[in-house]
Amino acid sequence: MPKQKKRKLGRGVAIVGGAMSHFGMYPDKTSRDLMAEAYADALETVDKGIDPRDIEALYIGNFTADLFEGQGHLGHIMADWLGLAPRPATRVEGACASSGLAFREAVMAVASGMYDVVLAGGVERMTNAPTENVQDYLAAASDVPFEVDQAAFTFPGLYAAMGTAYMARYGTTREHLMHVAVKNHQNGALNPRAQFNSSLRDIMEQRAKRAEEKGRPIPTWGDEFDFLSDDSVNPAVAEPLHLFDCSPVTDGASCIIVAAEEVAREYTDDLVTVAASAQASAGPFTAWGGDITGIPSARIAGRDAYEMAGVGPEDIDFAEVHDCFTTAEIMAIEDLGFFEPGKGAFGSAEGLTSRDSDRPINVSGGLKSKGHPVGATGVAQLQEVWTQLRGRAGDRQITHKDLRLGLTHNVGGTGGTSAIHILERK
Amino acid sequence: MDLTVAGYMKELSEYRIAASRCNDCDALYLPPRPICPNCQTRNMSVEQLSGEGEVAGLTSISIVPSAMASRGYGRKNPYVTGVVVLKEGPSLTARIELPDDVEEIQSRVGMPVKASFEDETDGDETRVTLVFRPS
Repeated sequence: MPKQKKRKLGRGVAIVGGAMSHFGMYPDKTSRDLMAEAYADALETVDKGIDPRDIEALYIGNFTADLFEGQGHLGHIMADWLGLAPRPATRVEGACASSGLAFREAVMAVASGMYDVVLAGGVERMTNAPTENVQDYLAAASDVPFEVDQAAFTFPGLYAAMGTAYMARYGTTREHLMHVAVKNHQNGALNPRAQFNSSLRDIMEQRAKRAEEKGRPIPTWGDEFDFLSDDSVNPAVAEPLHLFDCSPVTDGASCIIVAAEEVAREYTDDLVTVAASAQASAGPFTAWGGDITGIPSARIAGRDAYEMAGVGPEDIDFAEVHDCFTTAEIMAIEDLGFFEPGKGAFGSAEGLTSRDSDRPINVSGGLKSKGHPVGATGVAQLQEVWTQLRGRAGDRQITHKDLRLGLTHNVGGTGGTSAIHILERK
Repeated sequence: MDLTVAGYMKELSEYRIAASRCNDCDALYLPPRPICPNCQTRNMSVEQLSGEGEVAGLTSISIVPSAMASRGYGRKNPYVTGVVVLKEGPSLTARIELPDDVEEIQSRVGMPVKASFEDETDGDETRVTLVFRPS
């Protein structure tokens, strides 16, 4: 990897507003309806208020409304629906990292001096499509002629193959993965906008109650791990990944308003700025030199982000990472340098990523429990970190430590694209 | 052969695994590609690989894509696919056939395998697919 020059923004950029729509199944809402909900709520979060006409441009992350809704050309649809036409609107696509990239484009557009106030959004409407089609559409984010047409991989399958490579190398089991699911559902239970706003224990008890009501034999799960080990309620998707190892199919949108630091105080005195914005690309597994126990582009983007912010992994107070599958969270916390390779699974099982730990991971519930409307995820992660840094996350606010630096890790495909941001409270 | 996706698939259809080697830095690439990512030159030659290697990672897929559902795969009949590192160095993604029911699929990581070429018919179309089996 050739040495690159140290990167910096042309001028400081702050986040002045942000919100996510409710994440879940909304069969009556199209992309634009979801986006309008996130946008309206984002405007409400601007401390001193904002005249929408101050917004000069839009960057909208979306993976594939083309396939999910038959709607391409999404940028102008959103500009019009949010009442912001004729302002320039650009759709940004990087699979599940689409809105991480949209945010990055918005930040660079402001840092360049071209605009002072820009909207970064993300949206995906997914639940209207039949499960089989959803698999096919998501598979479009992989290397289709080789991974799909030849190898018949699905998306869970790709993360499952990484999982087996990891498990074989480090001697971990499915139980390590279960800890990630249990933790993220516990976090999601505190997030009123999460798709699964309930812990796995709640879900388990609901299932048992339903069985009792219907006069069926009452299951005797001892705890969440017992529940997750029962294939009748947690069936295999792609071994070692079962249903509760996978993020759900979700409808949702997210929206952030960024402003040049020099004008940001017109909107808020509680400033959170962009300390680093990094992005890296990689080919598919076949370009990784035979090692699939971590994601090379996430390591590179992480390294670049730390260098840009002038910090190291030890300085990060908390992070939202791309846990599209439980295996992905374990690799993420290693790729970001929070754990040595091979230690992430054990650290997760020991509670070192829980909401009361030194470095909480995915206090929002993560993709796993909050939901994963793929194009909306990156900006939703940033919105969570922004909200936590300002101490406004309600019941799920991290309170046992001071928060200064938060990180977001947003991955497209299996790491074809990684976008990593570090936000700093001033 | 052409250093294109179609060129590689044509080689496969004739039961060959073609890779490209950079004549400047000696790096070997699979699938074959026209530009060397290591030295950025376009001085490539084609080499045939053995099809022998070992499994780097694999999975058994139960929730299947529509193309596999139409071939009879599904929850009750999952299939295995994975990543194989060939002995010459490059790796590829391909279907894998295991001899028996495997409880813990990760126990097959590192398994030595050999490629076979399967003709698969999809309507009027016949396509050659690589399938690895234990060697």
